[in-house]
Amino acid sequence: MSGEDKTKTVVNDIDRSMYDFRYEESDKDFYRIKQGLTPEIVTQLSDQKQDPQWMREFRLKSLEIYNQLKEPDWGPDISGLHMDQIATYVRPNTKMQGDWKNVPQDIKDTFDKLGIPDAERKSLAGVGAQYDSELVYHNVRDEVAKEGVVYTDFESALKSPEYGEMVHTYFMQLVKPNDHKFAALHGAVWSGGSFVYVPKGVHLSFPLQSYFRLNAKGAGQFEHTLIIVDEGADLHFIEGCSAPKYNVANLHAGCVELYVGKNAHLRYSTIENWSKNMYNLNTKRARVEEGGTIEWVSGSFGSHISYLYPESDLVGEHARAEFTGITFAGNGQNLDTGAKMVHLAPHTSSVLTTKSISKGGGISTYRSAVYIAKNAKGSKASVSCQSLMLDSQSRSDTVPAMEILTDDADVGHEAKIGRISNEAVFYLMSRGISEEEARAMIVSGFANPVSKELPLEYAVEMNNLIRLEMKGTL
Amino acid sequence: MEFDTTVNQLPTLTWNWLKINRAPFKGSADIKDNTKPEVSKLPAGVTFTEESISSPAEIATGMGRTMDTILDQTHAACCVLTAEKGIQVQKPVVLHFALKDGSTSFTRQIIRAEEGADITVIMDYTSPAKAGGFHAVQTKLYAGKNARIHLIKVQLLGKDYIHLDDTGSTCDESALVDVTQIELGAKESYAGVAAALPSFSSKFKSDTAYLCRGKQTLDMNYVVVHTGKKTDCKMHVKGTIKDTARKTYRGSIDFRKGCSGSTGNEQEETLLLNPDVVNKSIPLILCDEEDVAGEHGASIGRLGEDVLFYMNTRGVSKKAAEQMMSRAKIQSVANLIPDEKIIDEIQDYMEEAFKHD
Amino acid sequence: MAHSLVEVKNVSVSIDAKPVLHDVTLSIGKGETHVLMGPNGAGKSTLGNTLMGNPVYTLDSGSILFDGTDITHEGTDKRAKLGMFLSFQNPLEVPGITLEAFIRSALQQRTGEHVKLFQFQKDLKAAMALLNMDESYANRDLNVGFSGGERKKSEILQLLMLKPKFAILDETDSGLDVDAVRTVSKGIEEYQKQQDGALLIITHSTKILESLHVDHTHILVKGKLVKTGDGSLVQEINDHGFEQFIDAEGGKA
Repeated sequence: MSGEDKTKTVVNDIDRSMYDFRYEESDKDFYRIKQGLTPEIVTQLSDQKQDPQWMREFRLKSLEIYNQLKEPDWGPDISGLHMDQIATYVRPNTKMQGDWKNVPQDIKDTFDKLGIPDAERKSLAGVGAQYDSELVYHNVRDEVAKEGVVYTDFESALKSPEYGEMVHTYFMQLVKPNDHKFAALHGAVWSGGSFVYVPKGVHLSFPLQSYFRLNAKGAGQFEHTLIIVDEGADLHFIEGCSAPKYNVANLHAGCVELYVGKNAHLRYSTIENWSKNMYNLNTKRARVEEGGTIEWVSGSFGSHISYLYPESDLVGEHARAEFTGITFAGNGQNLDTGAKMVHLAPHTSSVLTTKSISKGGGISTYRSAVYIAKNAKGSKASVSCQSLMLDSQSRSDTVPAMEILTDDADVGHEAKIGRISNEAVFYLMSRGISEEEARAMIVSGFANPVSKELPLEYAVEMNNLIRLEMKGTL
Repeated sequence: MEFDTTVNQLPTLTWNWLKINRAPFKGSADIKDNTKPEVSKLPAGVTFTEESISSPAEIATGMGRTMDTILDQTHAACCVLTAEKGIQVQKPVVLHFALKDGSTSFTRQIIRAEEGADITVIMDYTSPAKAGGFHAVQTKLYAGKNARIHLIKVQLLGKDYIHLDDTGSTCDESALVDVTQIELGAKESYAGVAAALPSFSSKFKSDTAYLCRGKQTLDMNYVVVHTGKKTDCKMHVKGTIKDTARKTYRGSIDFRKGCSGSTGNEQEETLLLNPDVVNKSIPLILCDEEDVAGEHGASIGRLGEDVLFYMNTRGVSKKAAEQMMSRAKIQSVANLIPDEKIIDEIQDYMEEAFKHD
Repeated sequence: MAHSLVEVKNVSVSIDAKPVLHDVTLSIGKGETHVLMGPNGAGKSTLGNTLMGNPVYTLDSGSILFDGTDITHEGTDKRAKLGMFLSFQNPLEVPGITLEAFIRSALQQRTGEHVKLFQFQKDLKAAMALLNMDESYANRDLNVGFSGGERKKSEILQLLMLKPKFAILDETDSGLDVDAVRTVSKGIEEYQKQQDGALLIITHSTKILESLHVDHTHILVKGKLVKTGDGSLVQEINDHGFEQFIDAEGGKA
């Protein structure tokens, strides 16, 4: 090993050539709104989308709230984000299709490269594909639709006679515009996203997947996902996202609102792989009724700056939330992620397990809150977070908070931070494994509890990403 | 004199809705006299001077700069205790604050242990059980090379007291600072400890035990900053919250760049005994250095079912078991105090506290 | 005729709605040594815990009397105060309280009187010596960092110091080496002699019984008491195992 000039180059960027392809967006094929954020722009956006009147008013009110709220005084610095330079709405001039062969070539190629049509054929019950600000493809298998499962793009749901009312009732009631500045931004310029309704007792044997691709430069993506899983139903929903890298900022301020009914079960898996110029300020929240369960599985690999803390509100007795997440912060990344568990009813339980890895100057912050209300008697919460630092240029912070307002609760918390154990490396090397391979194995092993919860292709992808990151770290 | 400020701020902020970033402090004190401590007979090798200088600003304290402001405003008296080079002081030096109803006491202490010295200083604050008043203290420790300072603070103040207890320390190479704290009395208590470990192989240890009952509030902020190589800290906080008491604990281990080979461990054990208690905990680890190992753990809740059953099988009822465990927590920290009389006082206080249950 | 010390009448028990004991009846007289044996999962520990009132188990039907008092619905600490004791299979660690302080507190609770320190410490030292326990254990936090053998000894130490009328020993010999088993046996013998205490020894091996006099043996299979005999039943189990009883039960199940 010594004496050779091996891969001594430090890998500064994940080898994302797989994601880094991009397509020109010509004026004739794309509508692009003026950049910036003014009531005129929001009104124009609303016109383009042919919003119902209530939605237009909602957007303008949200913009007002956005202007009143301040940016957070904690967390990564977002001064590099200039809203006046972001185009909040970019639309490919194509209608949403139900068949891939009708999707414009460039866009279809994008999703082909990402493996979406393939996955759909093999293992998904339905797919929604969003390109920049609008859905270009949406399809759900017949047998699934027959059971009454609704999976459509958000705009259709909003305007449909059957679900319009439901959407109006639920839209941004769980994540309200005045929650924080970027929830307000979302309320003003949201576009795209999916609406899912799973009727009572229906169990989907295959997952539904939405994929969000932000191809435009200097633009934002603000999809809204609303999922309602009715009593006793069961759904696995997968969300994937990526974007090619540019040297200007892109913004993602999406919103996910999940309603898990009585004794229902929802698993929400995300692999977030935005490019390193992306500001990812996402808000996700689930409301879980009696006996219901929400499982979050989350892998954060991309973006320049992330603020991401899925929140689970346990409002019914015996409701349960589990969060398993991994965050990998590399050069130029400042990823502030975690989760919030809010116990508002008796006998609720939550388990929070996270792993974070930082290398090459990356900054990873784990931030969580466990809140147990006075009436949440008999509740249990456990938090376990582990951080691995791969070199001294990186940074890893752990900021967990617990607020408990009753004695009848059981809260356990543990956190560990450190580096790859030299003993472990030595052990593997003594079995003939190279040092580089040993380190990669240890990091993969570290990530295993999360990767094993992901759908197989994602787990494979995640392990590849880790291996690529690990190359040349010596 | 009116106070309207904040103390005990976290080294890194988090969500504001948790209201845990800092503690608001509002109060007023009618400053008449300034009760100073009685100093025990000084052992050989220890010097004591009273100075009106303000203490070295380079030693940061846990409650923060606002505490400096409060003490400056109240013209706090300052004393300096120094253990000379190489002196292993056998008996602890005791600073006893015998407060009365209506006392106001604002003092500063600087405790220095020169190279190779070893000194134990006990500061205890007592008053009649029903008394009220204002007691504020800021203690700065400087441990020289290979020196050791064991600082013990025991708070047994009356039920209407406002209490501010601020500590800061720094170490030279291979020095050790050991802080033992017992918080039992007072109406409102604020305690902050900041330990700097800038030198190679320096160490910080902290053991705190408390009992919060009735309408008491206890707000704590512990911060250890590692900048030297191979430095180590161990923080252990344990206690019981009952009735309608409220307690906030912030414990931060900050591994700064360059502190390679360092380790830190922070543990919290909190027993909750009544439905109206409020507990806030935020154990932080900040890490800018790869070659370190940091750990923290917290266990919060009632007496475990299995522990309770075990106690029951020995004829110990639930209430008796809760008392036993509360006292055991205090006792395990009190056992670190090399002064029988003070341990007895603590036990007596505990006896009284549980008598009316 | 004088009542038995312990009377278990038609007791059925379940845990998490799963039934584990079915209609068990037995009685233990003052000073008697009973052995409860059976294959793994028979419910032996359940019976021991039920006698002691462990809230984890639900008594679906039946009753338990101790020294003439109906304790079926009494709390565990009350039962202990009446004179019952349970030595745990896996004694917990209880940090924050020393072994000595704990035993003294428990004694104080039981008698309601202040325990005279000097005599107490003498008694404690003697009991620890009998059990080959180093004196330093008295000042260590209860079971914290104790090895398996030391934890079991700590249980027997408590037995000797608390002097109950009736002690349930749950798999006291499991995980112990030969010497430890002998020492623990010695402790049990001492209890029998000193207290004339009644014993229910739960075990699925017989090492610990070698030097003890056994009055009655009960075999529990799948939650049912399938046979009661005298001390010789122990040898029979040693020679032939539980198979004959399992087969009989298997047929009925």
